[in-house]
Amino acid sequence: MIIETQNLTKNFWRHDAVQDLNLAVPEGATCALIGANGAGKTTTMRMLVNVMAPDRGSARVLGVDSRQLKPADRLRIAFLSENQELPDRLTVAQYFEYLTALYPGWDGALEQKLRAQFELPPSRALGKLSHGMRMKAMLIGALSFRPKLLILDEPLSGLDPLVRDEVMSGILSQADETTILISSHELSEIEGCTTHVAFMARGRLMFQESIEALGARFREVIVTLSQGPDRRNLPETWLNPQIDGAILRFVDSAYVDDAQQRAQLQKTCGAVLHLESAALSLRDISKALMRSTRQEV
Amino acid sequence: MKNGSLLFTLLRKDLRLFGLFGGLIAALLLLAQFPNLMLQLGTLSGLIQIGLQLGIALLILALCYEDAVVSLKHDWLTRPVPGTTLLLTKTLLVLAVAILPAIVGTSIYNLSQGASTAEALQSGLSVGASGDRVMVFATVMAFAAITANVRQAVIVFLAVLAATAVVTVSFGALREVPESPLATGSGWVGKLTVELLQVLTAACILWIQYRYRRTNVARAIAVMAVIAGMGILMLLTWPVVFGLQKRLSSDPAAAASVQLSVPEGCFPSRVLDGNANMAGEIGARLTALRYTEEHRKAMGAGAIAFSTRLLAQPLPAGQVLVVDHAEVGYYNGSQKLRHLRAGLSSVARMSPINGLPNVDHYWLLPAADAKRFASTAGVETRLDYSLSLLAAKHKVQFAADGQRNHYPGIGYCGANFDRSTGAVAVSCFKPGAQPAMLTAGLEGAADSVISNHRIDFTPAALDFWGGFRHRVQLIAHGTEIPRVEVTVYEARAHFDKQFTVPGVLGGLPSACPVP
Repeated sequence: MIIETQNLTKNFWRHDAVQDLNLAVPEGATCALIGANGAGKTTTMRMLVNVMAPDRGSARVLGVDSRQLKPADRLRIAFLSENQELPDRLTVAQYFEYLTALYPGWDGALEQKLRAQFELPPSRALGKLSHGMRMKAMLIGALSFRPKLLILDEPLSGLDPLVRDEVMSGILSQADETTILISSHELSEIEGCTTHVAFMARGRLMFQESIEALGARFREVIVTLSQGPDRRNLPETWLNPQIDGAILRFVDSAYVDDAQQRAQLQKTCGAVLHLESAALSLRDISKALMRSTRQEV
Repeated sequence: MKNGSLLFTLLRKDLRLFGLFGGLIAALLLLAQFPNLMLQLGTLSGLIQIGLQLGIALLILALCYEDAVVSLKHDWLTRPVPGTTLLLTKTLLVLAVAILPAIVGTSIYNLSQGASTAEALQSGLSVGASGDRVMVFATVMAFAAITANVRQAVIVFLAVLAATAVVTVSFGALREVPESPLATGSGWVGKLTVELLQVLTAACILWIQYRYRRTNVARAIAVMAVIAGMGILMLLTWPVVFGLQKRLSSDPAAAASVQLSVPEGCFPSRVLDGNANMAGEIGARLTALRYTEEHRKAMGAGAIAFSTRLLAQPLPAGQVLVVDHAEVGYYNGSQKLRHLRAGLSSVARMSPINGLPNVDHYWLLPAADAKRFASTAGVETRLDYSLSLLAAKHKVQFAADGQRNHYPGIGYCGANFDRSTGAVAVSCFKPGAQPAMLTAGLEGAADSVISNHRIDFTPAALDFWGGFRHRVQLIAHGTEIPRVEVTVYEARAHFDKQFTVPGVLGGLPSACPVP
C-alpha cells in the first residue's frame, strides 16, 4: 500500500476531526477522498504529509511513518492544497527556479510543457495571479518532480470549467506513474480518473472500495407499489427514501441485481407494480451518502 | 540535495523576497554607528533609531513568517527542506542584516577616530554582536516561531506586556519603594539568571519548532519561561542576591580591617506637610531618590523624612568602599515592625569628607508608623548595610593628547582635551570581562569620576562576551594638555554591617523625639 493509516485520530478541542481512520490506498490507484465539508478530509491529508501530528494512531506513506518523513521522502511526495501559502512575492519564473533547485529529479521539460500549456506569465508575482493561475502554478510545482504520490486537497475548488479541465488534464497526464489521493467536490471532473473511493463523514471513514464496486452496489430506485410502504420497515441500506403515496424512491446502497432487489421490495413493501432502477454517477452517489449521513445527525 | 546547495537556494529565495527591505535596514544600521553623523541629523536621528529597532524586529518577523513554522499551509512544509536548514538560513540573514552592519559601522567609525585596527574590530564586535542584541534577536525569532503572523504577534506581545505590567505594578505596590537588586553591583545575579533563561528558552523553542514542529510544547515553554522569569525576579530578594555575592568574595578576610560606624546623635529629619512638600536637602535628595510626589503623599501628612550617615575609618591606599544596599528596620525586641528601603540609588561609592569615607542615605517613614512607633516603648532602629571593598588592580597615566594606546588590564585608552572649555574626554575600550569599577581623574587630583559603566561585580568567567567603552568627562584648568589617571578596580570582599540605635530617629524618644 502506498498509503496506510491505522486508527488515525485528530481532535480539535472537543471537535473530533478524524476518528480511528483506517485508510489504504494501493499503488497506482487514484483514490477520491469524498465527504461533506468538515468531514475530516483536509485534516487527514495534512496528517499524511506530516504537516499536522495525529493525536493517536499512525499513517504510513510510501512505507514510511508519516511522523518520520525526511526530506528525502518528500522528494517522492507532492502535496497541493487550495489553501497553500506560496512565497507570493516571487515571480512564477523565480518560484520554479527555486523548486528546480530543491528537487534533483526536477523534469524541466515537463515544467516547460505544462507552463506553455497553462499559459502562465513568467514575470508575474505569484501573489498577483488569479486563483486559477495560482492552482496551475502549484500543480506544475507538484507534478514536475514526478512524485510517486500526489496528494491533492480540493485542487479544483473555485476554478472555472475551462481551468478545471486544464488542471485535470495535467493531473491525468501523471496518473499512470503516480498514486493519487484527491479530495474534491467536483466529482464529475474526477470520476473519469478515479479508481478508488473513500467516503468520510463526521471524521470517520464510512467505506472505501474500488469505483467499479461502488458503482455496482449503488442504484437509484423508483418503485410503484400496490400500497404505500411503512417507512419504519425499510432497510438501512436504502438511503434517503421518499414516499409519495404508493410510489417509493430511494438510493439502494447494497444493490446486487434486479431480481434480488425485486424480491426484497416485495418482502418489505408488498406487491411491486412497477420498478425502475438506474446506475448513479459518483457525484450522485456522493450526494446520496452526504444527504443520508446528514439525516442521521 | 547537499546542505550547502540547499542553504544557498533558500538564501537566494529570501534575498529575492527581502533584499530591498533588508538592504535598507542594513544601510541605516551601518550609518547609525556614526555618532557624529547622527548628531547632525538632530531629532531625525532619534526617529531613525526607533525606526531601526522596529524595522529590524519587523524584518525578523516577516522573514520567519515567510516560511512560518506554526502554519499548516506554507509551501515549505511539504517540500524537501529540513527545518534546521531553514532556521540556519533565517539566522544567517538576521546576522547579515542586523548584526554585521553594526559591526562594520562601529569598526569603521572607531578607525576614523584613531583607534587601532584591533581596537576597532573588537569594539565593532562588542557593539554589533553584543549579548543584548543577539539575545533580543534570538527572542524575536523564537517569538516568530510560535506565532503565525504579525497580527498575532502584536496581540500576544501586547497581552504579555499588559500581564507583566499588572504583575510589576502589583509587586511594586507591595514593595512600596522602587527597588531592584538588578540596579546594584550584584545585579548580575538576577540579570544573568534571566538572560540565561531567555537564551535557553529561545534556543529551546527554535530547536523544537524547526526540528520537530511541536507548537504546543514550544508555546508552553514560552509561557513557563515568562512565569519563571517573573518568579525569579520576585524571588531574588536582596539577601539572596548578596548572599551569593558574598560567597564569591576573592578575599573575604580583607573586610575584617574595615572599621565602620554611624555618627552618634539624632538623625537629621523633617516632617512632611499635608501636601507632601519638602524643602531643603532632604527633600531634594528624596526626590532624586525617586520617591515620587504620589509616593510621598501616600506616606501621609506627618510622615518623616530623615537621613542617616555611614562613616568608615580611612582605608589603605587604593581601596574603596561601595555601599550596595542599605535598609532601615524598626524592631521591638526581636519583632520586626517595619523596614524602609533607600531605593535605587543606594549603590554609592563612599567618598571622603573631612578625610573619612562616608555616605548618606535618605528615608521616608510613613505618618501612621511614625505615630505608632512614637507611642510604643522599646522601639529600636536597625541600619543594615551591604558593602563591597574594592581595590585598585591596574593604574595608568597618560596625556590627554588624543593618542590611544593599549594598557594591559585596562584596555585601549585615550583622552582628548578641549582647550576652549577645559573638557577632558577620557575613553577606554575594555574588551571581554569588565572591571568592578573604572575611574578616571586628573593626575594628582584627589577626586576621580566613575565611568559610565555602573559598578558591577559580574565574575570575569561570566563576562567574557563583548566589551565596553568606558567614558569619563573631566574638567581641567589651564591650557596645558593635562595628564589623566585611569584606575581599574576589582572587588575583594563583600560583607554586611549592622548598627542598632535606640528609638526611631537615632536616639531615645527623650533625646530624639518623633515630631
